[in-house]
Amino acid sequence: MSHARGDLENPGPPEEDKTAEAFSEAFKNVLAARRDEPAWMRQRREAAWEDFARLPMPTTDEESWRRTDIRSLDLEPFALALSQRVPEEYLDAKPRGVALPITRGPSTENLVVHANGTAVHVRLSEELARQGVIFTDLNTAVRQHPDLLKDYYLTGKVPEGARKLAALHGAFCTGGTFLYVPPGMVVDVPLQAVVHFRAGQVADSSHTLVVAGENSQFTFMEELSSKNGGSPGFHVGAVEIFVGSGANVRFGHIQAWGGSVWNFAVHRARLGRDSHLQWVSGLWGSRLSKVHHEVELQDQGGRAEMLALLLGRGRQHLDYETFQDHQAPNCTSDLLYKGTFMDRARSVWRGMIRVAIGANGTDAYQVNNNLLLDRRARADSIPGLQIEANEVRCTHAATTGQIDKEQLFYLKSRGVPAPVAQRIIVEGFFEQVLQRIAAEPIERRLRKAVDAVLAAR
Amino acid sequence: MGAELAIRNLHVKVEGNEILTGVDLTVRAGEVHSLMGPNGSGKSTLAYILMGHPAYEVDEGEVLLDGENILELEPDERARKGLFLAFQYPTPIPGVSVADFLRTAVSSIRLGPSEEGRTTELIPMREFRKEIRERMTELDIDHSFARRHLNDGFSGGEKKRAEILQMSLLKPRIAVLDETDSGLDIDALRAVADGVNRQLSSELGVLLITHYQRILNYIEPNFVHIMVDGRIVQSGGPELAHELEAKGYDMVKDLV
Repeated sequence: MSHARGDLENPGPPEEDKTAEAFSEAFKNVLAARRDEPAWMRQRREAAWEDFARLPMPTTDEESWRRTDIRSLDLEPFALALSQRVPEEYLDAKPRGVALPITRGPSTENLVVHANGTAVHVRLSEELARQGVIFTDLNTAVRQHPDLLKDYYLTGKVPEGARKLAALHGAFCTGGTFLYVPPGMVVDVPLQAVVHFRAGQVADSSHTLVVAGENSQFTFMEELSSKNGGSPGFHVGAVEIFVGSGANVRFGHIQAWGGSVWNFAVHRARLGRDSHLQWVSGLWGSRLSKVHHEVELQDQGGRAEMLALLLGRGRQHLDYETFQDHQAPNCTSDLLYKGTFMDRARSVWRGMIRVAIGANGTDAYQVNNNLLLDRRARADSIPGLQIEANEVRCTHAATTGQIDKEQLFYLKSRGVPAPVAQRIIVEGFFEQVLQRIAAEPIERRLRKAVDAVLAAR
Repeated sequence: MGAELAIRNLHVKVEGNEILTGVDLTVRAGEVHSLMGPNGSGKSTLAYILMGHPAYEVDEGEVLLDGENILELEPDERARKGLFLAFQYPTPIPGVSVADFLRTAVSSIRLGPSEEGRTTELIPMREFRKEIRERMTELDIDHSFARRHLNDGFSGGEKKRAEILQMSLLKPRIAVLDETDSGLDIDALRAVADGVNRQLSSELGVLLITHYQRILNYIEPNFVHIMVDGRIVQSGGPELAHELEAKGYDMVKDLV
């Protein structure tokens, strides 16, 4: 009988102790290495650490994790990796061998690259810098613009189901990308960031922080990718976007981790008055992903679009939980997640629209369509509405199915062989997302990925 | 050599019910056959069977194209042998443009698929664009139509015109037109009929399935067949259609 151990102060199994110890050690390393960081940042870090130490790992007993089981995730080896410095040879490397999201032209301007958790390439054109754009790695940003960061960094409310891993992120976040575009500024070249894993067992807790000044306009795109030869990787990240009044932001998030990477993140955007955000996600990487993706419509007239394209293969597990939070009147949110799943891939989408008291005149939509291309693929789709205001228009629709037999028959009747016909149907399925993408470089990147995945089939 | 489609003693069951109860019919290149019959007589089932719809199974009989039984062939193989079906209810394919799809279809028919049946070599864009524009002009279809999504949000008339547009590009040897006249106003009917007439030649055999005699005022058949309860009960020349128009389907009730 196991209760005979009787050690009340230390009731967990030995591997949990070992993990806790490894993280304590790693956290000490982080604190020691970051003695110079501002007091507010250290406080947020320590608060996050306390949460992480106190909270249990999520289990399938929690609603948010009911369909996503991470018992086979062994965190311990990643503790060291989270606090380690990147090998010297990567520093200030040209981002060679890193797939850049914007592939046309060799430009490495307006680009920030992180490899194995450390910034290795940071370039902003002189012209943009002169006009007041800040685009740099997070550590530089903390040193040079502490007051600006203080108002935004880790200020959002963390979704209930994300607390444990968001706390890990908050405690260990030592890198990432910061973008600030001053009020009224229109940037007509796309900015891009890459978070990349190379070689060996790697962990990363990078943070993407975007602040769009009033009436600014720009396109920013980040891509997560890895080439670490099948060794386990671990990403516990966050994206925070603050869209000022009247600003128009086009953001692309490409999650293209290799198949051995565990991917956890909280993605949030807060929209000011009459602002517009088009958030496009291309999600086809990782071994397992659990991401909370939220938009908060904080002032009237805001408009948020959340477009996502998911491509699941092999035994991938992709779990995206979305929240459209209408706090102010006359805002619009429009979510369209479309995914295809092959082999034994599995997806979970859980969406919630909340319309708070007083948020009258809300238009909120959520649509999730899944196409299962193999018999053993699976997609769960759980839409939800919580409406506390009057005069709102909310709709949701979720479909999951295989390729329509009538469509297939029709195309084949025109002489097109079945595999080509299937491909045409899948391309058409994604076209409904692709044609809505406002930023051409983001659209191009996603089209390329769809082509590559379908060609490999 | 002109094509020949021969339907021999065709029996078809759907969920245990016999829908076709022994159909015999031969369509040769250069001929227009009109197959008429009341609703539920099995006309559309025959059209689907000829093209190879997966929901129907043949119980007995055969369908020969140039002497080869095609019932074991996939729909795309039948199409590449020169068979075409204009659908009564064309299926919407969202997100797929008319032009992109038709270029793939025309290429599949003319160039054939690769060995694995995966990728299809495409005919040159310039050549295809010129061709599709000419055909659209003939059918009085606006050129912007090529960029719309296939049958998605099309009006009834647009769907039927799109079917005839596809036929004109795919250049079949045997075309089955399933109720291509249904739901069309007189202008659309004339445009569709003109489109079909323009394609008639000694190289093409047509099986025109219709409920009403109306379209036969525009497309003159050589032969008229009347189908009731899953088989052809009477065949004749164009005069049979006029007789049917005058007397209604009651005239063949006794033949069942």
